[in-house]
Order: sequence, then structure tokens, then C-alpha cells
Amino acid sequence: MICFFLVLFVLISSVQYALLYRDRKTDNSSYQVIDFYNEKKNSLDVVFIGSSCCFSFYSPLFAYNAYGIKTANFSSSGMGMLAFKYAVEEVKKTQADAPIVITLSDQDEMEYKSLHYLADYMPMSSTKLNLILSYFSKEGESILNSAEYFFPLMRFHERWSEITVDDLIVNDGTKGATRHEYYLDYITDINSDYYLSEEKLDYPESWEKHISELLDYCDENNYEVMFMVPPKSFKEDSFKMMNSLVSMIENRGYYVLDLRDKTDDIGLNLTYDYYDKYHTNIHGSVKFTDYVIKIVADRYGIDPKQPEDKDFSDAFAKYYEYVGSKLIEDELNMVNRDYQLERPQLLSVSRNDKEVCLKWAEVDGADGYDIYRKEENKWTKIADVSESEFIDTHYFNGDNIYTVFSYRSENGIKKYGNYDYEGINIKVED
Amino acid sequence: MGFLSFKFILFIAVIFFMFFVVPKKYQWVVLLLFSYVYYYLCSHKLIIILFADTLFVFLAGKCLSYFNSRIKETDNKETKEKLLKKRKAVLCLSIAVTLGLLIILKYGNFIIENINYAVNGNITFLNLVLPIGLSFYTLQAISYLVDVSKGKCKCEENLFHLMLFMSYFPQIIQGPIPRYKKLADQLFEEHDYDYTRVAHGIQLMLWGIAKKAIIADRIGIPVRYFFSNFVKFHGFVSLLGAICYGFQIYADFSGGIDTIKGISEVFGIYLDDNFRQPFFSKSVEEFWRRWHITLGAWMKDYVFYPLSLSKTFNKLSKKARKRFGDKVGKKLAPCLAMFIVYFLVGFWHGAEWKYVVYGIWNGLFIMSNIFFESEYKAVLSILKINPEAKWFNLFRMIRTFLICSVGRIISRSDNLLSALYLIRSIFRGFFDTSYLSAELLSELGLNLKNWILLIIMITIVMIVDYIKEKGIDIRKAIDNKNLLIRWSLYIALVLSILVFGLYGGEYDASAFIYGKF
Repeated sequence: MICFFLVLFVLISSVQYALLYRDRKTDNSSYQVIDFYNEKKNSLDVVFIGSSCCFSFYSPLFAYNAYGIKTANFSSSGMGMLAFKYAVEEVKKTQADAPIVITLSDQDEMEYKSLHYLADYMPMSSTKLNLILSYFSKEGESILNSAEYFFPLMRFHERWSEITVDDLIVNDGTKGATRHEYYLDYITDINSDYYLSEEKLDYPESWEKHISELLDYCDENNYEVMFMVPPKSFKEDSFKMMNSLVSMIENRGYYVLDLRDKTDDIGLNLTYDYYDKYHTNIHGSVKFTDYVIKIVADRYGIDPKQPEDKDFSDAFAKYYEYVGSKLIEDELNMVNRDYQLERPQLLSVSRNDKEVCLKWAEVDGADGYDIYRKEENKWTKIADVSESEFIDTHYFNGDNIYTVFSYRSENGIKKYGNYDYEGINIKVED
Repeated sequence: MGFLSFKFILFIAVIFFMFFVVPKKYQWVVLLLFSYVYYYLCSHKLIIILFADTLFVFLAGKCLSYFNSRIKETDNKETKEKLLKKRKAVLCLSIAVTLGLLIILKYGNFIIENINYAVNGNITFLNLVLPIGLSFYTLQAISYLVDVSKGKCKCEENLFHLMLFMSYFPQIIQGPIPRYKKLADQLFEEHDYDYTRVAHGIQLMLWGIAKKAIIADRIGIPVRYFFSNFVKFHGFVSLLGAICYGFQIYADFSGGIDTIKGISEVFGIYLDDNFRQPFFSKSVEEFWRRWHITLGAWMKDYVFYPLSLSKTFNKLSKKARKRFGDKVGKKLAPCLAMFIVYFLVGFWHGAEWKYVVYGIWNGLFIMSNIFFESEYKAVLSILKINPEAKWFNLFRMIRTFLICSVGRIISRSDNLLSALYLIRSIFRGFFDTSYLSAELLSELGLNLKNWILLIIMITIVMIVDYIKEKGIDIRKAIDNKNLLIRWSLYIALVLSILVFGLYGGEYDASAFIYGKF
């Protein structure tokens, strides 16, 4: 009888594992957590914890590519303040010496699916048990409803008819780097949703409870932890409550990197660097990562020019295969970026006989412009000009999408500014 | 608290444990406590109605028993006749009260609606809630009272015993409808732990859950769409829709009964069969001897026989013989009694005219079978058809299946007009499939893999039914197989439920079709 139940348990666990949601192409809700467990023990310089605000803003692979610093996100969609303490506890099991950066947003409790995004991929442990019990100890919840978190099969069994080979790939070697379509392709103007204020409001009891528990835990264990508030849209009240929360955390002796009013310093443009009002797109993420990692590395004394880590190098190369077509290669060369250099406004593209003429508005401070054209869905550099006009005599039949990357020269090195991510198109039909 | 919820599984695990841990003489107390807890969790305050009904039946039973003993003791003919009349009056009154409760709560608004329609009235509808299982335990109560009155079973002297009989949780929501004498013996006797019996009970429970969760709930998705959008379909596709509903209700109802029987079997309590491979029926009459067996048996014992053997029906039979001759006269009384039975069967299913028509639809076929029995035999003889031939029996099974499928259209449709439209649409462009677009098919709600799974599962169920029809006890047959085969089957069953079952999330696993009765 015992053997029977053992065999049954093993089979159920295997089936359950196979059916867990793992579609990396359309969703990123859990990959940062899944791939965190693939990191070697005590191999990371810093770990970032938070919700999608964490993994859409900060990219460990971009940070590594530019500075050689090894970091990871232990983050999942909708991770609320309730989960932070348990996330720190979990991270410290394998990365005992790594400082932690916790991304704050105005999410205190979690929806049931957000708990799935995190708990389903955590190995069974007292930490996971306490996280789930903590979630179901709040008012209005019944502990009996927690069953599906211990047996995710209850939630995911219907996926049997959708399962593909991709679902069975446990580790695709990209360290959970973000690559869902909104992050890669969407641009949303969030100017009208971006609120700033210096006022303070009392924050909810739940915030106090969860953050105090977290800080107490960090104090007890003497962990190196700092907090970060990303430059995203907050509701008016939430913004003011966050001001109060930041003060509370600082009064407890913890450093808070509050970036809400730092978009200019970061180089983030509210018109084109976000995919929605809460998350940067890939281009915004490059800028944000560059800004934050330098501050974090400086704070914790991490050498930015470390020896190459093959694991991270391979992961970046593989990740670049997926996302490279969305970026200009020089865009990731963070050391040589000047985000204050505006992107050239593409004015017109027209066709005269056997040439295509591209014109743009001059950019203050720019010494030149690299011209790119989409070839086989990738930006390919076709010219380097100093004027605000380019004539292309090697255009294609069909779509010709151009963009212009501004730069300034400093000691013979190009410092790249910005470019129009979507470009301008002219369709040629000969 | 549905059978497919984590809460119910936990509930069952606790009661299994408690049942075998307590001293055997208190096992029935465990069952009673948990039955009332279960009922409270399902119906909350309406548990008062169950208790009040039980108390009333208990007192009525005691009264009837008192009359029985007085009748037995007395030799005086006149006194005996008076006592018989009083006993009959008590019986009629107690049935009237018990049945009256069901009529008011279940049919009250239906009656008001029809009165308002008939006389253009404006009577206000009652704001009442139907207690779960009322239709079932009312029939149980009536059978108990009648059987006590007739001396077929002893009057229960212990109120708590009767409370358990009326509330026994595995069967209160959807049957089977037990007889007191048969069930009581089992409820109150002591039960040892028997590994084989417990294992068999769990196997049956899992089989029932598999039918419900994999077939019934799954096929219910396109069935729901079909009946809500029946105007979009016609021809054999409409017939397929009706057939799918037939499979849904069979899997749902028989799955629920298997679950219930399995749970009971673990305790050592064997409930009556409620299904006996109904799709193998060769006539509508046979179908109703194989489908919802305990309802049919109840109707036979407490409606059909009392009616057809009553003085009134005897007189009617004699008059009919005088007027229409022996052949008609002999059959008229049973036909009329049968009509009443199926009128009531239909009505029992729901407080709507469509259910009545559904009952009459089935009744008409049964009555025609009774009435024209000799004519049918003559036709077969003329056509030189061997009634025992395999092909003919197959034809009869398919014919019966189709007749019952059409009947189910009536019960499943929103109303009689919709049912009529649907039935007529079957005969319109029977083979036409040109209107079936990929979009329409996707609106049915299942992808190809799910349809394939359904076909496989239904085939398996039919194969199992065929094996049972051959008289083979499947669970015993599996017991005799080697370890690898046994374990493979059990593991496959459990994994199938866990992976393919529709439960959790947004699926409402507790919505048994017969649960509302």
C-alpha cells in the first residue's frame, strides 16, 4: 500500500511539474523566480526582489553585458509587500552574502494568481509554507483554499490540452530575462499618468505590518538590504503614502533609492520609454539598469570590471538572439551612452527617382548621427553622417524603415543618445 | 459543498477516519453527526426543515405503529374496522403534510403562476427557498410511513435513528431513494474495517468522480452552448446535441451515484443500484427499469400498484371491459396508472410544464407497448423477424436511445416552444453541414483534444457498461489481475481525474444536474 502511494506521489509530482505554466514567449510572470534557482550558490553580487516593476525595469543581463556585474531578479508579477520577507528568506538560502535591493510599489496584498506566480515555483520549504499560510491568514480567506498552492495541479491540470515541447524546457539558459511582447514592442506615452508630489499621507496598516516584519527580520539577521522606488505611475494617494513609507524605512536606518522624480537623471522619456504606465519597455529598461547598477555597485563596493562569467556571457548571447532585433547594438553599450542627448525627430522620408531622402531635426549637442535601416527585421547601420539629412541609394523594393541614432564625440569615442524606436517607413514599389 | 471540492475530500477523509476509530456501537452516531454537518454546510438554516420533517415522520410513524398494535390485539371486527379507518386517516394526513411541504416549497410558485394565467389573476409569488434534497427525503419519508402502516417494516423507536435514515449524507442530495427496512439494518449495525471492501468502495468512488469530472462537466460545455443557441443548428447536428446531453446526464447522474455508493461501501453500507447500463435498453419501459431505478421502483410500489389494484381502478376496469371488450378493458387500468406514474415522474423532475411533457412522452411509449403488445408481436411475425436476433436487438437499443434522446430535449430545453423548435429542426436538412463554420464550432467551447478525450472516455464507459451487462463484476475481475495491471489501472484512474477532470478554478464542480431536487 505504501509503495503504491509512493509511486502515485512520484507520478503526480512529475505530471504536476510538466503542467506548470512556463510560456516564456507570451508571459514573464514567473521566470525570474524559476531561473533564480538555476544560479550557482553564492555566485551573485546583488539580488533584486519585487514585482513586475522590478523585472521590467531592471535587467540583470544588460547590467552584466555593460559592467560584468552578476545580479538576478527574484521577482514575479504582482509580488506584494506581504511576500518580501519570505522572498528575502528564500534568496538568502543560496545567496547568503549578496546584498538585496527590494523594489517597492503600492502593492501590499497579492491576488491569488500573483501568489501562484511566486509559490508554484518555490521548492517546498518552511518559507513557502509560511508564505502561503500568511496569505491565507488574512481576513476573508480560508485556509482550505490554500490547497491549490500545495498542489498546483488543481489549478493547472486543464493545461494538458495546451502543453507543447516548450513547456517542458526547464531552463532555456536566459536567466529568466524579460522578453514578452509588451516589453519588447509596446510604446505608451505616460506623461498624463505620471504624478509627483512631496505631500505625505498615512499608509495602510497592512503596509506597516508587512514592511515592519521585513525590517525586523533584516535587522535580526543583519542583512544588507536597500530599497528602491521605481519611476512609474502611482495614483495620487498611493504616491503620497509611498512618501510616508519611504520616510519610515529611512528612519529605520535603511537606504531608499527613490527614483520617482529622477526620470531626467536616468534619461527616461515618459513618451517612449514605457510600455504602460507601470513598466518600462526594453529601451527604458536599458537606461534604468545603467543608472541603478552604478549606484548599487558603488554602494556595495562591487567592482564593475569583473572577470567574465561564462554562464552569464552565454545567457546574454542567447537572450540577445531573442531580443536583438528590437535593439540597436550600441544601445546596450551603456558605458558609452549619453541619455540627455535627445532622439532626432524624424521629419520625412521621400523618394526621388533612384534615391530615398531621409530628413530629421537637428539635436542640440549631437556631433553626428548613425543611420539604421531594418534589414531582415534587425536594425543595421548603413551610414554615419554629421548633417541632418541622408540619401539612401541602396534602398529595397518594399518597406524601408529608417531610424537615426544621435551621438556626440568625446575623446574619439561616440557617446550615444537616443533614437526613434519605431523608425519611419517608406514603401518603394518599382 | 460539492463532491469535487477539496473541502469535501477533507470531509470524507475525516469521517472515514472517525468511523473506524470510534467504538463500533457509535459508528452510526458518527454518520448522523457528519450527515447533519454536511447538510448544514450545504443548506445552512434550512436544516430546520429537515429536522422538523423527520420529527413529524417519527411521530406519525409511532402513531401508525400504535394503531397497528391495537389492530393486531383486537378481535372485534367493528373495532378493527374503526382502527383501520383511523390508521388510514393518520397515514393520509401524514403523507399529505409531508407531501404538502414538498408541493408548497417546490411547486408553490408554479401553481400560482398557472392560476394567475388561467384566471388572469395577480397572486403574489412566494419568497421561498427549496431545501436541498427535499424531493428525495420526502419520498423516503412517504415510503417509511406506508411501510410502517402496512407492517412491512417496524416503526423506528429511536428518533436519532430515523434522523440518520432521512439525512444520510451520501444519498440525500441525489439518491438513490432507499427503503427504510433495507437501509436501517445496515446503518445501525457494527462494521468492521475490511481492506477489500474499503478498497472497492474507493475504486467505485473514483470511477464515479471520473465520470462526473471528465465526461459530464466537460461535455456540459458544448451542451450548454448548444441549448442556448439551438437556432444556429439543425439536422443531425441538432440530434448530436441532444445525444451529447444524454451522455452528460448519464455521466453526471451515474457518476454521482457511483461516488455515493462508493463512499457508503467504505462504511460497509450497500446502497441500491440506481443505474443498470440504461443505454442497453431495448424499450422505453426497460429504460426506466434501468435508469433512476429507485425512483421507478418507488413509483411502482407507492403509486402504480396502489392505483391499479385500487377499488376505483378495478371498477373502471370492469366498466371498460363491458364497454370496449376484454382486450381494451384489461389494459386500460394499468395504462391509466402508468400515465399517472409518468405524469408524476415528469413533475417530480421540476416545476415546469416541460417536465410534465417529458414524463408523458416516456409514458406514452410505455403505454403503447402495453396496449399494442400483441400487435407488435404480430408485425414481427409477419415480417419474419426473430425478436431475439442480435441485429434486431441492436436496432431496438438504437431506437430506444433515440427516443429517449428526443425526450431529453424536452426536459433540457428552456421551455416547450424551444423544445418543439429543436425537435423539428432535427428533420430540417438532416445531412446539411454547410452552415458549420470553424468559428461556430469553436464557440462550442472545446478544442479538438478535448473532443477526442471525450470520445475516448465515453467509449471506455460504454465498454465498462457492456462488461457489466455481461454479468462480470469488474472490480473483482481486476482484483484477480497481477500487480502491474492493477496498479496501472488504479494509477491511470487517479491521474486521469487529476489531469483531465474539470475541477478547481472557475469550474463549479458541485452543480450536479439532479442536485437541485
